[in-house]
Amino acid sequence: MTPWTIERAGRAIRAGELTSERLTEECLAASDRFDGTLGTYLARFDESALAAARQADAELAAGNDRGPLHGIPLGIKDIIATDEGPTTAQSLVQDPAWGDQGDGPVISRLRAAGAVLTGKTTTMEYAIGRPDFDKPFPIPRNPWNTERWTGGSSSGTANGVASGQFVGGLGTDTGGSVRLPAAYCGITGHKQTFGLVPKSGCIPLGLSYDHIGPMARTVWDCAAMLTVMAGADASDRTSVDRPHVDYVARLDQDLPARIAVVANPSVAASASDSMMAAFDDAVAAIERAGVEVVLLEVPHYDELANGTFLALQAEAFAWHRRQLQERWLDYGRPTRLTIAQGALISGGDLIQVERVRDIARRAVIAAMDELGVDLLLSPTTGYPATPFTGADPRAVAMSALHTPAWNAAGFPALSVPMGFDVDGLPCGLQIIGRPFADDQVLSLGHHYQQLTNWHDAVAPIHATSGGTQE
Amino acid sequence: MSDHDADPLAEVRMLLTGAGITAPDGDLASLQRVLGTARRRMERMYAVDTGDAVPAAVFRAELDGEVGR
Repeated sequence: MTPWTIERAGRAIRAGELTSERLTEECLAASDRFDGTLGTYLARFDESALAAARQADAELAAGNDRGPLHGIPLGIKDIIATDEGPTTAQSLVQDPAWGDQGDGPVISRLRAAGAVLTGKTTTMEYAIGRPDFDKPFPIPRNPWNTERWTGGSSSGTANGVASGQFVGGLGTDTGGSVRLPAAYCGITGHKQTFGLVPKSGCIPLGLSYDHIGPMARTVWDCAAMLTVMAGADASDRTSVDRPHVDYVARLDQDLPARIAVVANPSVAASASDSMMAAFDDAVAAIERAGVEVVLLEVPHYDELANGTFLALQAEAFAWHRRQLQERWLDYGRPTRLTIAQGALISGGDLIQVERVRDIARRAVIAAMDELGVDLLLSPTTGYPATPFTGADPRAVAMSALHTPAWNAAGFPALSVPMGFDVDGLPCGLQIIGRPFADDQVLSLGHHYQQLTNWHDAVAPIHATSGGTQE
Repeated sequence: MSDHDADPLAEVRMLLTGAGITAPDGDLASLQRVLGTARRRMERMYAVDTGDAVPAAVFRAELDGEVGR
């Protein structure tokens, strides 16, 4: 059995072999079985999802085809507002009335494209911190090993896709929160170029580092979602007006002649041997396809990552200060201690972080120019999913160091499955591109998924009924 | 060296109190432990030659309702 993807389900629906209603029912049945174990949802929208699915079927029967997302069940991270219900950010602090604003532009676009929203998925509180057993919220668990974390903070979306509870979904990424859980759970996740997708309707973490990104089993699926999600909206002044791109249509563009591996010492130094072995295999597979692979020591790489951590803490502190004053203990301990570090950063410090951000971004582009490359590769994480208890502190500390540089740079960065470590846990390959070259990033990821079948691997906890014989 | 440099716990308490936040001693102690790391991280940022680089600003002078180009 092969799990449903957006691509495959769309084909089956149009061939009359599947209906959106049946697909949605399969997903809801999977949630009946697995949600309690995996902690995927904070709120399920079964009734409205089934109604949307029936409407999608009726529209298709009437000849109204809204495109690849028509009738496809999607899960939405619960820091993004939707019309169906409150947005909790998995926090006791969050005012439920915040979600009354309803759909933001990305949700409106997905809905207009015929997507079926199945519910709001778990996160780390306010998209930061660690799993918090002291608060009355589900703990998201990894379908590859339930004693392991999903990665954060788009945790429920990642484990929901990986377990077949929906076919795709939305995460958010300020320092890696789409790519980390995608890598940990063996799925695909894309952090697009900053500004490509409007993020209004999403509770901010780091206002100038946040992204709303697609998560699904394959690059094709993420490309289909991004095609719908991209485009400026007046409600987000950081969103940028760019020509519309059909990212699916660009997937089959030629492989690049040359790409570079991120060769900074801190990459290998903060990764396990088995992660680097999986990465070497992934690079070799791309090389065998005729792509020249060279090394690039990315200028200011560590400073870009540092800057993301420092700035997101400062920006988060600005947003949370009043609530921290009034409800300090209602925040989870990991959350409040992380956000409060923003109080340790001065105004001058933050200006310097932003100055480095600008210098570093320019230097990275110049280095790519000089080497003649448009795409970079690195592991997505240094280590695979860490256990809830007894984790190697080094693995916890190091895992998140490969993603945040690209939030500061604003470059697009994709994570695709690249195999398994010695314990059978998924590993992720990160593909990074130039600003607004999301099509090139996705295309290389798509080619990689034609060369390998890691993205087809099915987690031990998965709805085997939710697929088709291939 | 100021008194606060010599006593990071006092510095953390001062910064939070100045922001109107009262935190329990255990939380202050945790923040004290990360203060040195945060300072070292910040010093690395000042070590970069940023010349007269201007920080990116979201602020735009045009009216709301217009999007960036």
